[in-house]
Amino acid sequence: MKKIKIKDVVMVALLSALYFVLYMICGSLSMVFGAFGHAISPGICALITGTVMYFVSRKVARFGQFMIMQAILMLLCAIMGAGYIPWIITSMIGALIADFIASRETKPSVLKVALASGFFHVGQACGVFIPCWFFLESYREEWISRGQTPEAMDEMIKYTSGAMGVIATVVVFALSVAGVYLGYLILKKHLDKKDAMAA
Amino acid sequence: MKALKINPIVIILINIIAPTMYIFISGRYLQIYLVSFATCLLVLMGRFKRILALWIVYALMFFGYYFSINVEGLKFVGLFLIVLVQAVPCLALASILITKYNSAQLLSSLETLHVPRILVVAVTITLKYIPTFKREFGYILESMRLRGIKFTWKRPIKSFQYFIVPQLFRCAALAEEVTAAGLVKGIDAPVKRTSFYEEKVTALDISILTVFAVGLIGGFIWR
Amino acid sequence: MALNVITADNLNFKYEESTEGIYDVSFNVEEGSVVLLTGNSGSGKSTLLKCLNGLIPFVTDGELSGDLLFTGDKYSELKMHKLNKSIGSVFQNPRSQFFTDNTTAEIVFPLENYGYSKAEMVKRIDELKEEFGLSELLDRDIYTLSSGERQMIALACSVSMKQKVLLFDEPSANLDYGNAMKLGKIIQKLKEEGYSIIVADHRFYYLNGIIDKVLFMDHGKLKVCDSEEEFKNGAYDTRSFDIFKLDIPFAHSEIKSEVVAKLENVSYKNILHDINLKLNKGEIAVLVGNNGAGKTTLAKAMCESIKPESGKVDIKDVPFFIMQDPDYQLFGTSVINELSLVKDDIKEIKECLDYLGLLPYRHKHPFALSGGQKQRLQIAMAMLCDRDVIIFDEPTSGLDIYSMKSVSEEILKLKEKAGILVISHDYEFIRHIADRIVYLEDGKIAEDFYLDENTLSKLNHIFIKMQEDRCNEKNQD
Repeated sequence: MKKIKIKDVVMVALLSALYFVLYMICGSLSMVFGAFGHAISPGICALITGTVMYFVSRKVARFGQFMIMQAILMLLCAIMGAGYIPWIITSMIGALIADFIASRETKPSVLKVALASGFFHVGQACGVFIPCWFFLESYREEWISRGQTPEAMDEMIKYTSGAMGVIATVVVFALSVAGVYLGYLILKKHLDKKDAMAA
Repeated sequence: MKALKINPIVIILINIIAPTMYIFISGRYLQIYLVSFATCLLVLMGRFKRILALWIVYALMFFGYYFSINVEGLKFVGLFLIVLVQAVPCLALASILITKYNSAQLLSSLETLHVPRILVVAVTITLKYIPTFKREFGYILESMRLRGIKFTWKRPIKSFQYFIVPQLFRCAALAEEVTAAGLVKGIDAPVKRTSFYEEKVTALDISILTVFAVGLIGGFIWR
Repeated sequence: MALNVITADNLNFKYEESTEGIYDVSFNVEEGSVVLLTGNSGSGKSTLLKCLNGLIPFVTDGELSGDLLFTGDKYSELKMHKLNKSIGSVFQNPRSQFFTDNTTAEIVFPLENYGYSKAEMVKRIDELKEEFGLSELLDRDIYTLSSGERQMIALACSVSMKQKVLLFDEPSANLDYGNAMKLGKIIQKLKEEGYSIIVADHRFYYLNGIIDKVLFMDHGKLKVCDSEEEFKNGAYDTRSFDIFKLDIPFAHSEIKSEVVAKLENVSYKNILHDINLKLNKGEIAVLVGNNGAGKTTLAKAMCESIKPESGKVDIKDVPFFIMQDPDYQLFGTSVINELSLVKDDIKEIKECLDYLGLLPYRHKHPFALSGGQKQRLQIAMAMLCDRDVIIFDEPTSGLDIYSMKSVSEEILKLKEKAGILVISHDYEFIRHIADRIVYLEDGKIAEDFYLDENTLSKLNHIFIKMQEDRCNEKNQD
């Protein structure tokens, strides 16, 4: 396990810029699908950026790489007015888990990188939904006072937060994993040749 | 009235804290409070068009919510709307942040927040290369067209590969050059980094944040 | 006797992963002198430069031995960040040497890193504004600057901490002829002000008459010439010091009168005005003009990348466009794979690679090739592409003289089956390949003639004019 150097940080910073650009492209693409597209956009982004995640694990391969990447993304969002504490916390935890899974060796298996990407993106998604759950709870009282039955309302909230929870974890996780495998597929030939040349 | 100059850090802090409070205090209260607070802040900054936009979006979303929450089958829409609407005041403030301040000013707030220098440098690099890469993706698409391997949805994976691979390898090559350029400009100097664009936090900034905090405390009592 | 700012004694460096390196390098640089560091690609020129700015051993791993001193202090005892407060570096690539998008923010970037106070920074900006005439350039978007203006900003950055020693890394690679000549004048002025300057470049026409010492690298070994004269009299090809005196045979040959591309009254925004141009099969037309004259826009119009506001572009097939920066154009997983995307005929690909000397690298990843090899790979693509029109955008920037000559020969071969349009400001290269010169000035075709003994003076005149245009610009600041 080698220590992270300035050059690695610069590389991560550049790849984060690439990640961000892809994120923006995905964001505008999923707009086409309307509200539904918006709900699944974190997943779509995770699918597309999997290639970047895989590249990071192959080219940087230092412990802390995913944490730095996430920190850059969070700080960037923060200074643009879109960062908030729960999101930052869950994202950083996700990135830490990702580093523990896939950054402790120079050539982690594709599966490890895929899992790492899963946690990395689920961390991002959770932070978006957690405040929402609390928010819905706080509205429960009001709805009941307006004549909705508590049971019906509980059902609704459970269903909605449940649905969001599923999207936040299962779908995003699955698409992140798929994204890294896509990245592997795309980069396999490109990187194999280089390794062969270096050897 | 003269528009007041507010340190970007004030808006950044408000946006970092505000959504978090939904966990602790009543969403109803916070919602009303944030809209009125954002409105006051925008008045102070003299952004009246922005206020109008904020109110219209807000009113429309609320109307949609009241309409759909009482209709069986559309309830979900209402629930989603009410979740989305909570972000509107913060988005209004964020839009001021990115239109009124340039990237150097925004970066300088990292200095105020005492972010470690290596991350400040990293974020500086990321921020600089976002527009660069966006532009270059255009070049790559153009060059794919001229090479006769146009981006097509019929072969999405192959097309995506042509689209992304050059840029990834460029990043790897660039990393070396950028590191070299950065080192000769002292990105690793072991002194506290300063910022040309950093503004002192003024009494006005502190009073705004104090008012904001008092308002949040009000939320605990309200319950 | 003048003080030595830099002294190297028996300096050796060997890279970890390759056999290249520098051996037994000893020299000194006197205060207030201009030193040219030159040699072909792969000669160890950039290795030596990296030693001088401290990137070796700080970033690049390898074995370093011998002594390198800066004003008497050993490099190894100075930290990188201390060294760089005394030595300023100007890199060649405008893309990777800037950290912000604003000129003022860029100039203060090193000052911020070194913890200067706001008052100190304001003062320093004022001083630099005075010294380099930056009043028009401050607080601008770097992306909208011309290459010459960018060079000025890079220069101002490199002396922002009052460094008195300056290292230039291939400054001419991204400058047009006029700007390179202007840079020569600036270097002369800096020298007079007492700066010590080291320029690493394989083109040096813009330094004619101001060089005090030449460090010539050849296969990792150093040969020192103590004067410009000595260097000119040496064995290395230095004829290009005075480019107008070059004696090169004219490429002009018989032109088939088969028009492959035609622009009729093409205008675009405020960039192109009423352009009429016919390109014939079998000819190489070179498009010259200062940056900003509309050369690239004209090429884009021919590729139908932009739609002219008025006029007509008449072309059968999309031209094959070879961009200045090969990196945008490489998509393959190996050299062979790259070429099979152009034409899937392995026999022809192999012949072509063999001709270009790329056969040993056929399994390499395109991005793992050196700059010159990438250039050659692009030429291979052009050879295989079977299109009527091939466009080159600055194919020789960053190439040493020998690579430039081989690229010229390869391009000459291409014209057998296509019409070729080349954008270039490399005079020597133009002389090797041009059948025809098209001079673009402010979006209009100012001259269009076939190049031979009689019209040569016209070409020379254009180059002198381009240089004057640049230098007059400066006076307007």
